[in-house]
Amino acid sequence: MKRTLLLLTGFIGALSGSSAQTVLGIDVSTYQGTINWTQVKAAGYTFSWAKATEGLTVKDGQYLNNASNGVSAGMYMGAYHFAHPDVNSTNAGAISEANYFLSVAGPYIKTCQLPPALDLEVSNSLTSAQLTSWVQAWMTTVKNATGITPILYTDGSIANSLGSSMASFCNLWIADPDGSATVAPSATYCGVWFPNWSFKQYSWTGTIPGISGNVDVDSYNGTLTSLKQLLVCTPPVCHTYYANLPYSNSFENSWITDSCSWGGQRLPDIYWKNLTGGTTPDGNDYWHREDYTGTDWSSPATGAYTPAASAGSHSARFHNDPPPAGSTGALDFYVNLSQPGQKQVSFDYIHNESSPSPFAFNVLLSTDGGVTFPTTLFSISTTQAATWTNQSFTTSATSATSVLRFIVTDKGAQDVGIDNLSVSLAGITGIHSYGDQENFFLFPNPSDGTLLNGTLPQTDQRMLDVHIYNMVGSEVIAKQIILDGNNFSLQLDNKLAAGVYLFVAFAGDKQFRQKIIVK
Amino acid sequence: MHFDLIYTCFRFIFEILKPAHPLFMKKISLVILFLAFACIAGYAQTGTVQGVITSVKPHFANTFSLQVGDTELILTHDPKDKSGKAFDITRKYKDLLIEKEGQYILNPKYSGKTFSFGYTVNGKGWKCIQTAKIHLK
Repeated sequence: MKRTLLLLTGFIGALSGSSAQTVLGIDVSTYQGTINWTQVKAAGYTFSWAKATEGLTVKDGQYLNNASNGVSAGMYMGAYHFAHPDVNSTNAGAISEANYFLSVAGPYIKTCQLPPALDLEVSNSLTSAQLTSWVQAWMTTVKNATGITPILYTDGSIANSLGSSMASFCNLWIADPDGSATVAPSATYCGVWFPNWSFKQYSWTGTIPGISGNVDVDSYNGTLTSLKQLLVCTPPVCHTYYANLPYSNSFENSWITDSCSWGGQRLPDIYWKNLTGGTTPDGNDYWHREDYTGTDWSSPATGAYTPAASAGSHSARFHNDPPPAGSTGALDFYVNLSQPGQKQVSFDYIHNESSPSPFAFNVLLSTDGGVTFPTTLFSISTTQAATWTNQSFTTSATSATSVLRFIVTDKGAQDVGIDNLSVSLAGITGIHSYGDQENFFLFPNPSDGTLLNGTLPQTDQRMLDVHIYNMVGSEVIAKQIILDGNNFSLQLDNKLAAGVYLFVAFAGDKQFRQKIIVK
Repeated sequence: MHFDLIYTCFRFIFEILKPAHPLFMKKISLVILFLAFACIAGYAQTGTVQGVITSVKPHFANTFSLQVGDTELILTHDPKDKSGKAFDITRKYKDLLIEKEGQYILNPKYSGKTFSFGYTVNGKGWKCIQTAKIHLK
């Protein structure tokens, strides 16, 4: 008790010594239990971040309560994600973590909230370059999906280890628990962000009315007016991103919400958009991952197919039950098909119903960014597919702004599923599923442009088919390399200008992808 | 505040444990003792851990992670110390970690010693060491 009184006294002292303009806030998670936000607000705290997710599987048990009740009490709320680059160490892992965060916090981020934040506390086993690349991948994914520049929460050691370009990817919320809300963190502590750090976490042992136990307390580097300007209250421009080839998706990741898709979890990733159509469209005409249980779908268990996937555990599902049925849902894939030659599109399909009426499932092509869809590339003529059945076709389209529209009109008792989608250059890549990306390593990355080394997961292949694409999707290097066990070396011979590239390798029927940076 | 909750909890238990109370029976007493434990466990933001420090690792924001048995304890710097080198721990054990060749290690004089650490859970959920004493056999 004595210690608590001392802490309380110290805290009150800190408050009384602070400037009247200092904007104070807190950050919370399930550790704080149920919070009385009205009391927090009355105690003079203006903003709060609430933990939403951690890694790929942990959803904070209090996030929804905090996000909702905090706003109701008049707090400016934001959501943060606890990063696990120690577990999901590749850039693909960063993107998966970002998408998982968006799947939970996405619906709240644009409702007058603080920018989303990445909590980076663990970085072991990654080099500075790898960690920089990881953080940039997370930030880019969230920014692409929301249009909002996120915030990085970390300490001085990590802030200083990140590359100098990081300041253009995110703003800084620095952990500097010196007990003072008003003393600015030092230049050496803030790294490239100084003096433009945004928030300072000044204590981990704050005691505040409305919260049982200790809580993290923060201050904002600015006025209340400028804090309000950080709030994202209007939907940003609906962004469009085109996937480069080869592309594959078996819909295993949690679906995301982006600025084009209010309402949650309607997009497999940032390269998709989701539209309803028909005469009586309602939420049931949206595509979702097959295990979706949100309010868009009424009776989501009805019409479910088995097995739920042809590859992995999940698939994309068009739900058309209960009535009104017979309307239409379109799932649009934005893809850069500018490379010359035939492109092969392949996916698996299931619809265990013999005579639905009306029924149509077409794959349409737009070459003008989705304005018009004059070409029917493929029609599924067999209404009933009791088991997963592969469908494939080719197109010679060369538009960099192509859109493949998967559009279903259906009335019946059974839903329609697609899975294991692959779009690639025909005759070069064939159909490849992803290999174990977690155990695929490229180094050095960033590269000086002379040599790139790599390690694959255990493989019995002897040859590796390597393709490197620039960021507009043009292939700049194509080589076949003899594997030395699981290892390989690729001579770049300074053929690549400084920039970011996509490294794609095929070993047997497995593909591996990673972004590389050439300095 | 959690201390208020603990106090209320114990006060309630104390009242019904009085011999004059109609609930004072042996079996019920055992149940109530269990409830007392649950009160502490449910609301505790403090605790103690006893054992030997088996590892010391740098942790987030200049803190250190000390493994004691199955428990990870965090040793934080004393925010009142302007040198930034003093730890927030019982004065006698301020030298629990020492700097050697730019790294903090367990002071060899405490190697293999059994400690009793008192901790509080901070806002991040860490068990932060507040007090220490060497456990006497």
